Amino acid sequence: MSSTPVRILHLEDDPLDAELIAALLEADGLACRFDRATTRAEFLSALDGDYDLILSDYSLPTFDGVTAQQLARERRPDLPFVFVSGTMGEEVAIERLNEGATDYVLKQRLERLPRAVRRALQEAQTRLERARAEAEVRRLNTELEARVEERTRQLATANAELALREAELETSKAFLDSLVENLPLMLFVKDAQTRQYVRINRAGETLLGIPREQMLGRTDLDLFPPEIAEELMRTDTELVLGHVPVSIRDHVIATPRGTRFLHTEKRPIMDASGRPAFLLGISLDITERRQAEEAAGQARLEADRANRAKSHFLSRMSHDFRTPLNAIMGFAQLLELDEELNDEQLDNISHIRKGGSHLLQLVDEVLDISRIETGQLSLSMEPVRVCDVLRGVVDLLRPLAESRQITVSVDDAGHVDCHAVADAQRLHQVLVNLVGNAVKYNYDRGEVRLTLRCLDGKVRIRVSDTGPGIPAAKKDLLFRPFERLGAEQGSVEGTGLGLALAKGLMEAMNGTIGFEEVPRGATFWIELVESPEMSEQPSEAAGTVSTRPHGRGTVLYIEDNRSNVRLLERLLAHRPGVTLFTAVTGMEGFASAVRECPGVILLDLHLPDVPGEEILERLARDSRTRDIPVIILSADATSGHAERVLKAGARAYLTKPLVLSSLLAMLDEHLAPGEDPD
Amino acid sequence: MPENDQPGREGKLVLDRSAEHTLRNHLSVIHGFCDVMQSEIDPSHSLQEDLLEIRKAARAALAILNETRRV
Repeated sequence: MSSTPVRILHLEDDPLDAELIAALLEADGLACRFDRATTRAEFLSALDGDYDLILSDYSLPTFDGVTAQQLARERRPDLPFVFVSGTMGEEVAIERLNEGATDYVLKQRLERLPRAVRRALQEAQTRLERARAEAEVRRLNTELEARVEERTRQLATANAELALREAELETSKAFLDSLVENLPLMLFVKDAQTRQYVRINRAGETLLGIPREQMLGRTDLDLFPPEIAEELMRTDTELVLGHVPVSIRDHVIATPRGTRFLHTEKRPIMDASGRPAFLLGISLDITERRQAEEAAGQARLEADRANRAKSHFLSRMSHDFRTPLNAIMGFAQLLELDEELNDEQLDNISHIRKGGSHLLQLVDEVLDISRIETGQLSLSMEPVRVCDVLRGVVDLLRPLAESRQITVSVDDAGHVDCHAVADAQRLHQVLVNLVGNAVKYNYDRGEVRLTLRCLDGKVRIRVSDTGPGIPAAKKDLLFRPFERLGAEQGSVEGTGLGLALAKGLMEAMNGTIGFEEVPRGATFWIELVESPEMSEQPSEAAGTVSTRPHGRGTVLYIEDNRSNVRLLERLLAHRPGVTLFTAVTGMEGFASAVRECPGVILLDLHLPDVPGEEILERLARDSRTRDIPVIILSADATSGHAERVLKAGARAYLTKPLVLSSLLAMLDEHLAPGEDPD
Repeated sequence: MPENDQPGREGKLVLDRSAEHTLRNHLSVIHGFCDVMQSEIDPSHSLQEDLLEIRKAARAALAILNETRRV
């Protein structure tokens, strides 16, 4: 026991007994401090105090031990409760013990009290310690449980995170796998050391025709013919040693679908130490592309060949078809000169000449369209004063219009100085076509109106007529070649090429052409880019009437075509002062030129022995012949040709079929003057 | 037409059937009027030779046309 006094709450009404008990305990060596209560109120009040033990009498004048025990048990169940009584019987004592009293001492046997107190204190102490121990155990248990719970929770969280990571990893892996597998290119990975395949995607399997199970763990030597395998492995070595990407273009590989051409890019994949661990390769199957390129090359060759053939056809049409046309037109013109013919015969001949003229127009138009199609149309684009061209066209077509009392008017007021970027001759051709149509497909006594306007950098010309117009259903066919929209049934002559050609020419001149729907008649328009520049147009010499006297002298005609020779013979029969020599080969012609020294040489370019150009060159070089004027009569109407021979020294270039009056005028110009014309 | 040339197929692209038809029409008109005139004038008339030239030329043109079609 410690030296701290035992604090005792003593319920005792008798002060003597109380003193006795205190003395007794003191005497037994128990240091005690007593607080005595004698009533219920005192007891209750003291019960909250700091005590180690309650000693209680059984019977008090205003209170009793049983009630006190009950109160103490309710309020201070830890405090030992010892009855000290002189009246308490054995039975009651046992009952109280059963109700929780620690002990009981009869006043008659107070000598037991110190032992009973000590034991009660001891038991209380033991109980307290046990309670503390139990509390500690409970606390520890609780703490442990909390820790276990916390740990369990942490583990659950960690597990959940792990599961999430695994799921993410799985998703990521599945995504990468899917990418690799769905890549439309062959992708493969090899071990950098063993060169065995460790991965190949589906495109690779398909391309090579080898299932991946058969590829993985194998090298190129196991899979491909030696020459291909060695080449593949050589580039692998290059990759491993060089540590740099390798690009292999156009290499071949044998597959079940035959030899394929691949373009492969290989890259080393390094490990942590910077050494190649794997070789990654991506191959693009370029077989189809190569085939397509080859096919395209072939197609280009084919197209070139077709173009050459077409050009060739053009030159043939130009020359070959013109030769008989020349004869037809020439002889028809010649026949018209015959003074003995009656009106009916003259009419017949006019039909022949018109037929020839239409043929010529058709051939020219077909050739122009072909030139446009093959990109061989040569244009001389320059600023053109549009109103001059318009008036030229109107002057040309006025006789035709007047023959049917059709009025042609031009509205160019305020725009007479308007210039367009165009080829003057081709613009003239387009307008002759449009205005010609407006006249041809018009009613007698109708009107044709031409309007010129310059606006916003564009030059627009409208050609309107008062004819029957074009049915709306047929306007889509307007610019198609050989499409005459039913006019072929009528009496108006035409080739059906005019508008198609006009469209082609306009487009070639960076212009446009169109049809305008109007309530009455037909209206076409063309549009060109306006030119800010002014350009002096050369005045047209054509159409001027020659008043030159008929020439006299000798003419040498070098020509192999007998009809043409005969035509000229017949023509010159109308020029008695002219003597004609002829030669059917180039060399014969040159010899004749040297011998006869003619006043004029007429030279065909297509000769059986040497090209006419060569004869022209010889004539120009030779001092005996260089001053003789040479006039080229050619059936070749292709552009540029005339320019070349004129540069080579020819005085003039006449295209067959010949306009006989022009030829005669040209001869008169170059021969010595003779008699006056009739 | 010279034998070594093969313009036909490509030529056809250009010389469409319609154009060929028109060409034939004009040539037959020319041919026809020559026939008429030749039959109407005296066989010994100097014009006969000129008309013959025109007929020959029309035939030559027709031959070129046929050649183009044949290839």
